[in-house]
Amino acid sequence: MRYARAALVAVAVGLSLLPLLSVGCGTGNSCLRLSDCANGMTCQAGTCASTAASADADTTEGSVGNAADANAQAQDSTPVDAATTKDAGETDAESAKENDADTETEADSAAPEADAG
Amino acid sequence: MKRSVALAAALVSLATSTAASAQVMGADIGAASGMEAGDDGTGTTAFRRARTRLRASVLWQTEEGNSGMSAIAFVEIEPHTSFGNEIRYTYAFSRRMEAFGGATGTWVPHILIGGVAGATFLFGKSDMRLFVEPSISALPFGTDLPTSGVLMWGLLSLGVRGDISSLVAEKNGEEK
Repeated sequence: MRYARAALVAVAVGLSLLPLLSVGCGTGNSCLRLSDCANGMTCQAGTCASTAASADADTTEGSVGNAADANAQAQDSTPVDAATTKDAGETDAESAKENDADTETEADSAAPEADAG
Repeated sequence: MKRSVALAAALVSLATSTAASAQVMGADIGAASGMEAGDDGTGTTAFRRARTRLRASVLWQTEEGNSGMSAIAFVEIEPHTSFGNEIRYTYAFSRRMEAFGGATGTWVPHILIGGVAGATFLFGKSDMRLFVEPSISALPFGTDLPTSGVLMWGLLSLGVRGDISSLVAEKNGEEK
């Protein structure tokens, strides 16, 4: 019985020191229990986070994934775009030649008027 | 979960049998705080100051006076609020020192269920005595836990215990 009392006293003294050790522990936003967080918030990795923010984070991750997919598709379609651009360039060159021809025709027609003046 | 149900059933049956052969011996009020530890979701054990709580209890003891049961209601008041109960089996080594074990938990706003053990040291010779009560609790079940880890409380309670039985005896004596 004496040993039991001594053990109890030793444990009690040790436990009595816990409040002293706990001074300064934890921060205002830390959580170990769900009830540490306000309504609409959840405890994630020791920090209170809003469930809406968590949903947004998931959505953002999804949108990032979609963007990555879009980039991959764009890279796959790059040769097609390049060919299209090349065709467009040729078309532009042809139209430029036509414009030049029109300009020269106009100049030629203007020249006789100047001579007449 | 089955273990906690069996533990609760055993405590209830023990409380019933003790209460059947016991009389109300005392009541106490006090305050407690200490340290809280648990898995915060990062896979490591985090420590912090436990919530400060106010408590009130009623103690039944057998006529032999060595063993008894106590029922406690407590309110955690800061930094966050919750309400809970404890039910304990108490063994008195002497008039000044008791050991106890039982079940503890909170019910509002979330549920926590676990076990508690500790010791009570009483000071004073009158019917109103001061008590110092270190205890440790392990709470592995409940909706208040963000992970499947166990939440630990190491608490130190301070308060006053009144010996109701002597007051009742005095009152009965006066009436007689």
